Amino acid sequence: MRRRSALAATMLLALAVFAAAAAAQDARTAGPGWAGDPSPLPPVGELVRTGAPVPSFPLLLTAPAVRAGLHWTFGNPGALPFELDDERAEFQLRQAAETGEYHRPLDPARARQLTASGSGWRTVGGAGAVRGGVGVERASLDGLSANLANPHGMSPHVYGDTSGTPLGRTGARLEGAGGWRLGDWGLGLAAGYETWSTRTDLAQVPRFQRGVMPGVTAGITRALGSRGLLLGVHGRWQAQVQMNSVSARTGGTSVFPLEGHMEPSAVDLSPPAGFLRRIERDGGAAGLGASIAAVGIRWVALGEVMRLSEKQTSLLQNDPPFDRWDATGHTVGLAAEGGLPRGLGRFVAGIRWTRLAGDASREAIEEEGSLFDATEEVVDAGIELRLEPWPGWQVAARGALAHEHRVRDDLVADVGWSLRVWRPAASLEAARELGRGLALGIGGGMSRTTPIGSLPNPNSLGPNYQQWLAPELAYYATPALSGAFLLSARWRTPGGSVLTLEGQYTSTSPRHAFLRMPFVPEGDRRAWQIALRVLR
Amino acid sequence: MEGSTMQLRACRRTVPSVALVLLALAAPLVAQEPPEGTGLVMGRVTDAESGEPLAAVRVEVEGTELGALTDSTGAYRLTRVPPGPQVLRAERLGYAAARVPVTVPAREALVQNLTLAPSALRLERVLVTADPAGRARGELGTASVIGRDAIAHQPATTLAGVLNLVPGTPMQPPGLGSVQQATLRSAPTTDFQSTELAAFGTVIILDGVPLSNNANLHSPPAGVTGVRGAARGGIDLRRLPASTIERVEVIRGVPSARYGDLTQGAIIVDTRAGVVDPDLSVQFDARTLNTSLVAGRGLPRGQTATASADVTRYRVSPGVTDDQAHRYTLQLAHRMGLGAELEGEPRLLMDTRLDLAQVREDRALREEDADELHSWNRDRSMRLSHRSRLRLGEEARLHVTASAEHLRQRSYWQRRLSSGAMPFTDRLTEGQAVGRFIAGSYLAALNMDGDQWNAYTRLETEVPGLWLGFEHGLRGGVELRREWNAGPGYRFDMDRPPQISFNGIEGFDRPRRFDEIPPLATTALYLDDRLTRRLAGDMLLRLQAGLRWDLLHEGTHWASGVRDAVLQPRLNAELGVLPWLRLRGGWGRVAKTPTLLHLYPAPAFYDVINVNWYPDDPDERLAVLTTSILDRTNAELGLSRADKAEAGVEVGLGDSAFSLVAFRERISGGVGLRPEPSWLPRDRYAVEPTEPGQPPRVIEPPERTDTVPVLVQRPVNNTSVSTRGVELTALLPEIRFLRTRLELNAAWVQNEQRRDGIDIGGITRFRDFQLTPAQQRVPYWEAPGRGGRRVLGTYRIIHQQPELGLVVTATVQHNLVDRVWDDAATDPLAFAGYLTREGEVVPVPEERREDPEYADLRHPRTGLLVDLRSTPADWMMGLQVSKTLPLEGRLSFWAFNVLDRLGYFIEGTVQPRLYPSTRFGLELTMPLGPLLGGRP
Repeated sequence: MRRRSALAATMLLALAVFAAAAAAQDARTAGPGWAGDPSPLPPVGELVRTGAPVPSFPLLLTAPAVRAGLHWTFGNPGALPFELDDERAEFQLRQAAETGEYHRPLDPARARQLTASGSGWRTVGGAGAVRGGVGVERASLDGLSANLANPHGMSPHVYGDTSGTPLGRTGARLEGAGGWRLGDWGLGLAAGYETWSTRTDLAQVPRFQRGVMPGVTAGITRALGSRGLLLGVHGRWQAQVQMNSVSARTGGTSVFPLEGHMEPSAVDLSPPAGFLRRIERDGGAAGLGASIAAVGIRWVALGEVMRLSEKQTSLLQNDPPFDRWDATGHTVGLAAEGGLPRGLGRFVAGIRWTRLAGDASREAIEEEGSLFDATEEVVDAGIELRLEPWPGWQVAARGALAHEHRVRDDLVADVGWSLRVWRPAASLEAARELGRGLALGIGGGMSRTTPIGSLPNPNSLGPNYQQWLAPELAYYATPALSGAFLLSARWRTPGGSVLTLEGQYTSTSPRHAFLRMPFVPEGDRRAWQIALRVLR
Repeated sequence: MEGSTMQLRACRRTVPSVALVLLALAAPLVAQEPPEGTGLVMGRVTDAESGEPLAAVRVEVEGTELGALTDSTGAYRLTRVPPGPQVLRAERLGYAAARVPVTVPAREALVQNLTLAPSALRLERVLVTADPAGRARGELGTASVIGRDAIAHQPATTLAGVLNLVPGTPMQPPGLGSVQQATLRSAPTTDFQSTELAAFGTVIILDGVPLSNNANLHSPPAGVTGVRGAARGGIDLRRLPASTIERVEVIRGVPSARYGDLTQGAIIVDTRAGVVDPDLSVQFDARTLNTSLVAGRGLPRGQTATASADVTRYRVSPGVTDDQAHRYTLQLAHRMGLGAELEGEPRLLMDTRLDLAQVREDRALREEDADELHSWNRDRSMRLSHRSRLRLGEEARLHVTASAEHLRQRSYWQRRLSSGAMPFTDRLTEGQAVGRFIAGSYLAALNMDGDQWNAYTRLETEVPGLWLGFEHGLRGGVELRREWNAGPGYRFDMDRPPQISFNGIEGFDRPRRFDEIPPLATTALYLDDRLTRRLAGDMLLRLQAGLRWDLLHEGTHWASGVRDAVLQPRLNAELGVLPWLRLRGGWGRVAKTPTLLHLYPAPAFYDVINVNWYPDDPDERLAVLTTSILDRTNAELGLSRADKAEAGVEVGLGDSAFSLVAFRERISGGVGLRPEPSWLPRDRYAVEPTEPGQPPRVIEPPERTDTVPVLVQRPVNNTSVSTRGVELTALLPEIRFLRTRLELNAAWVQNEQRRDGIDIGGITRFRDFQLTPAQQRVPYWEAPGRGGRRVLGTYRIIHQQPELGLVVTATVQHNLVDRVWDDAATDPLAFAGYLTREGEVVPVPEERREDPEYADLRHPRTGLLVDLRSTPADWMMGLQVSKTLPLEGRLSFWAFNVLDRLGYFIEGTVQPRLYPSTRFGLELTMPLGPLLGGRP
């Protein structure tokens, strides 16, 4: 039996690799923002402006429960041997797609993604624990105007182009963390590496992008007292290098540097001209945390300071002139995990506040000093409850509330904006064992985006601004509603392996208030995904 | 001259005699009794996980020819093992190789049981790099031994990727994009022929039989790019997929006399053969998709049959062009033992291999301009080789090796060319003829078809013995080779020539048939002895002395006279001062046969224009040209020679090892092209118009006559290359707490190259001289020297978690020094004299070069005033992570240049360093045996 299930696992993995797939982001432990991420690869010193968020599900049948801990919530690998005593191995194959007109100018119009990944954790010997994963991804991105890995970060040095040719992306992500316990001390090291390559296929205007992102986290913990008090410090380093190019080989295109809020001026490219951009990022963070068990609950608290330095250039030479972006800030968080009264189930809750401030300069006008600054903060809070109300039934609920406050000022154009966004979300999921190892689950959820703020009047700015920048701001400033639906199934094979299948569908559409924003995208945005997993 | 001819003819009579003597030498030794005072090692080999005995495991004493196969109970027995510290190596397909250091007692049996793990990743220590203390089988010279485990941990699609593990080799990403060649112990210079020479002098031995590139004539005419060939260089390594290689030995030091036809070193490649569960491997990255399958099974009566197949698709520039390369290889191996077995070895062991390989390259731009530039290359090889080993008595062996190989090379190239009014002729004989005109834009096309054949035979006797206080491993043999090319050659439509500068006052190619070129026949005789003696205390002395005689025949068969011969003494010595300390040294001479391309160069066709009348009306045009054919062959061309010397020290403590080797090598008589000044008379005729619509009439006699200077590029043994350097390898002890080891290797190599004869600097300068009758002279330089220096350090950090089946290898390669120089490149006073239009060479004394009368000669030779070609230090990094999967599978992730370092540097240099961009991929290896119900 063991052989048959192992055979199934192997064949599935082989299938995944044959399909030339794998999931970069799925290699990490997926979870809601408030629950944290133990990976060494989440961006340091960055608050990415996301699109309208869709509600997330607890995934009762297919995913492990969210955990709270110095490692699980805040990524300190030194806490691994204290917080991990079980074993899990998972192979996953996922197909996802996204389409619809309701998106920002630098989002792809359509995206398809085939990913495969493997991840797991276990203890090693009597005093060690490891966690890791690998994933690869093949994606096609249609109607994408941004040839950048992350066009919605805090840095204002962003550009788009008008070629619009479909892009193919191949990416891989690899990460691992190990922690060893030496008496009351814990030492840990986590390392991750993500790389990707994006290209057009024999286009008249080929676009290329390749990038690498290594990250390392080192942590030390110390157990004190009898109440499970664990103190930890950790340091994180992360770098990113991107090389982006647009080449006018046989056709022409225009590149629009979207720096700040001035009217973007086009850089027209005719054969054989090209546009090149190399982006180098270097970030670091240091944190101090503690966890303790009290009143039947594990409490975890952490504070972290971080910085990010970004350099961009279009010249391949020694010491080229750089455009820069520098950000500093901190994160403070609290998490708790414990059992519900009368053994009804368990809960995990968390809250984290991140605040970053940064400013940008351009080498060409460096004497002018900072040309752009931003102060942005995000508070993310949430709770997950898992209950077993009746034999054979599982019910989970997840609620979250995020608040964003972003203030961004173009000091050259003397134009800025300030926006506050509230994002409540809730989801409910139920699952039932049907016998013979089979279980089915169903879930639904909703989330809402409610913004308030002040934006520049796009009607007084130029046509390029109205094409590239105004729709994005209008998108953020427009209320939106998202709905999600989940179906899942789990089958425990006689050999001990678990096969799961899940499908999710989400839809997001704007909910215009009494004031309709000019240039706001119309329509809606739909996404679906199907994931097949083998668990050991 | 006459004396040397007589000498060579004498060789003709001597060769058979010496061959007989070599073989006869073995006879009296066959009957000798096994010597006393040597060690016996015996034991049992078991599966590390199941504890089951393992049959058919090859157990050998590293660095010697001593080896045995385990029987069905897993037992092995090795006799005549030299006492003292030795390393046992056990290998079986499907298992990770094991290396165990032992100390062999002089008069007692040593029982050493061994275990093999099905997956190397679960071993306490898996060797993922070249073994720093390894020895090629039967060799004492410096070598790197790369086992299957290390190969499996390399992101390699060809042998070239495996060779990245050799000290001094720059890391390259895997691929099939262009011809790949091996260059050992060389640093690049400004002259590409230096690299070509290094590749040409590196012999590749595949499954015991040398591959040869001597008959490769696949060299496109000047100006044709896109037709790729390895002519004048080494063999194209793309034929050899990494996935089917079991072991690679890279002999960089002085090889034994057994190995010839080389100047640089020898790369010995063993492919996978034997009993092995089906093993499927898939490699994937953004450019490459590679699938390979190896399977072998036992057959009745001690036979084994193995099949290996590899299919690879490679996209050269995805997103930009649709250029692609494909490779298909298939190897069938059959082994059979006959006769009674002695310690697992049958009386007669026969090993037959059939290798089929095809490498296809297709180059085309996008569809809309596909008729502008298009080319393809098809290399298809088939090789049948056989090796037999006959046991004579208890210790002596007779080896017979034979192979026949056919390499079919087909290339096509087309490109739209544009030219002004250009008179030309397609005359194939000397004389004057009315020519035609090519003008405007036309689609030029070229076909190049070569059929390279190699036949190889070796007869060798191996006779161990004990006399004069030494244990001997005597080998003597004779090698016969015949290499020829039967292809139709390069062909093109004379109305659409592929050379834009077809107006051939420089000389250019005409279509040429390859099958008209005579074969190359060579003979080699060698005698080699390995001597081992235990000295006082624990000291152990090993010597390897040999003599090799390579003969290049005048004619097309081995019975013909000898054109050139080189006697090559070789000596290696190793002194084990202490069990952990070895001192080594070696000196020897090696030699390399010239290629057919150099022995029989294409004649140079010079078409001198006598009349060039080009009015608007095509019917009134007239071109008269005189064709001269200059023979470029050199009857004196012979073998290149190289003297190699090295000294080193090795330290082995526990699982750590340290090796330091200093070497000096000098190639003399390397084949290069020597430009010989000459001239052609040119008659210039006046014409007078005739009737409209008719060409004009040529008025005799010529109105004037002048000369056209030409240079005849003749292959001669005029190149010398001096190389010296230091190689350092250190495998540091494991930091057990971190389960991490560090391996360092570094190489400092400096090349200095000089080519006797004149040098004319850039080709443009001489072309202008040819085309400008008013210019009476042009400067020349004498034997300019070129050089290159490279210091390359490679640091590997290997982290291993056997419990998890996880191995992480991070490789940092540090380009510490990269410098090339070119003597007299920028000095305007460095010229040696001048050439006249009549081909006269007039030296100018150094003290007079500043005189005003020589002002027109004072130019930098390269045309550049800056010759600072030093690139500052820089580094890049690679990463590989391997993890076991259920059922003994393995998944590897690799990334090349993980931080995407550009390596560029322009300021103050003219040689930027450009690292290849980041590449990453996955490899899945899955034994199919468990899936098919075999070994769990």
